[in-house]
Amino acid sequence: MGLQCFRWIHHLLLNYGLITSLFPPYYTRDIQQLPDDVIVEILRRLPADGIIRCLHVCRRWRSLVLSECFMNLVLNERKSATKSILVLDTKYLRAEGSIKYILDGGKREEELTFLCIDDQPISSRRGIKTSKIRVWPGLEIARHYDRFIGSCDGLLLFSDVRVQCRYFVFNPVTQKEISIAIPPVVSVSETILCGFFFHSLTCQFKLLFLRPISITSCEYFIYTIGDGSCRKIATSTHNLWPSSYYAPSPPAVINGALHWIARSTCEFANDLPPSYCCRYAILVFRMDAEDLLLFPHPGEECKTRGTHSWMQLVVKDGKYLSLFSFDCSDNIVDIWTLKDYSNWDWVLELKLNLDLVDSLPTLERFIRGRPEVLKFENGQVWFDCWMRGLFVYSVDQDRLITLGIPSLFSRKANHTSFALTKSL
Amino acid sequence: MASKGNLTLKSCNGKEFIVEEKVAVMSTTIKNMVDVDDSFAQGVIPIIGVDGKILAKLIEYCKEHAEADEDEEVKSEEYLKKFDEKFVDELNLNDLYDLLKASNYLEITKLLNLLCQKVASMIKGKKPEEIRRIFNIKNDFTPEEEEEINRQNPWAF
Repeated sequence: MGLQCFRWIHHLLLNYGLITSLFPPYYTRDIQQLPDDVIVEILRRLPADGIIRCLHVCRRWRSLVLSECFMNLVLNERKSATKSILVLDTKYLRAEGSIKYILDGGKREEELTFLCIDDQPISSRRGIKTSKIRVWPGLEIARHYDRFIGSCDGLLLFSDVRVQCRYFVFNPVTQKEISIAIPPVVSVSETILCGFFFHSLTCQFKLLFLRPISITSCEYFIYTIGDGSCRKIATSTHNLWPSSYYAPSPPAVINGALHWIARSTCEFANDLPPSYCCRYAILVFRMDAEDLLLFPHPGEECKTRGTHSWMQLVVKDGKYLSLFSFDCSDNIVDIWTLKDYSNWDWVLELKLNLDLVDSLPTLERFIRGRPEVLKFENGQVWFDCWMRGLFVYSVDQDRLITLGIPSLFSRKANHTSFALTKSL
Repeated sequence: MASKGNLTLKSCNGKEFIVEEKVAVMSTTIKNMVDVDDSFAQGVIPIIGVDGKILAKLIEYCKEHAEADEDEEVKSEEYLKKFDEKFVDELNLNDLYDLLKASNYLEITKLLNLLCQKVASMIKGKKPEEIRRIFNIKNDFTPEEEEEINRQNPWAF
């Protein structure tokens, strides 16, 4: 055996010239001889984590990535930033190709860590890919975050535990944060923040607040992050507002509009057509017009004057508005898809019978609570059922995969999960 | 100036290539030269810093794309995609660098994009030390600097 080995080396040495000619000399020229603009052209094509890693390669690449020119290039291209957000380096998350779900774990006095679950259709619990993002302990947000409110274009919005109506906007990839104080006109204790969105025409990040005036009416304000302007918007939909008073679900953002399930505070929803008596409707905020409209939820004329057990809007496959509606009486989740947006034409896509789903006792109990649909993509519906953790329902296979609470947490932590919006 | 005329391109090591104008003007640099000064259209255009081998490659690429731009039916998008894939797959690193430099200098945007995408795909998903190894980049950070950088982005790995 040993001899054979030597023979092989001998053979190799004899044919050295031949062998080297088979492998062309790869390194006679150098990538560093390329001009800066070519290196920039290459690096800007990388996803967020790729750009971050290039900060570690060498001084030249580091200074190129950190240059204002590079930042502007990436930002302008993706039309993502307001002037003030430039400080935040939104570029990295904008460059992120995949949607990730981040769970907020850990306690305030401990380290704040996010867990990202990669955006892959999964077939089993083991197939799940995760990575951790640690928040730099020196940041304000690590010590003073109160509650996660929303995510928009890769940025995260948290409330500040110390002061009411103060918020943090945080970029988990670049670890930059800014603090926002909402002007006094809005900042009264009852104000509810119901939307955090990016206005693509003006390239500004904005917040939509509502302030109840009485039990039956409210007014809306739009706050622009960056210039700090705040204005009241005219609306006739003042007696319906996003349901779940204290913490409305984040809106489904599609077609240049934000969508919530809204619930009337009156017995009857006077703003809706007379034939339509349901107290629930879909509230639409159009970003370009900055106005609010009401549309009926799908299904036959709904006479429900009581409460729907649970309704939630999500964006399906980045293209359609989808509505999940659960009725306790028959234990069925109706999944609707808005096929034709301009004609408000809904199609009942699926009836998910919870009696047929194997983990029924688990899911059913939590459907009755307030589960979240995180996303509906590639035929898979991701549910977050609080203390029970995550579930993925595969439509094609009619199968429920139990993910449980991801292993970042040794104890069953009180987590929050949310979808980062797709950016590129 | 005849729009369908031929142009002569001369590499830095003296090789001459006769190409159709529509192929040559895929390069914005050459297009500007020809537009500004008619004499280039008749004479020889020296392509400084680009040797014959690389220039031949450039012309091969431009030819395919110029013909596709002219007649979409003959060369479909699908065909071009396959051609592009094969084109970059056959390149070694040296050719890649040379072509990058040349397409940047000659402003052949399509090709530059294709090549940059190729290099980006080689970087994607790699750790910094792997990137250095692949591209033979010297790590010029001092150990102290490196520690400081790692402290800033500990989660990047």
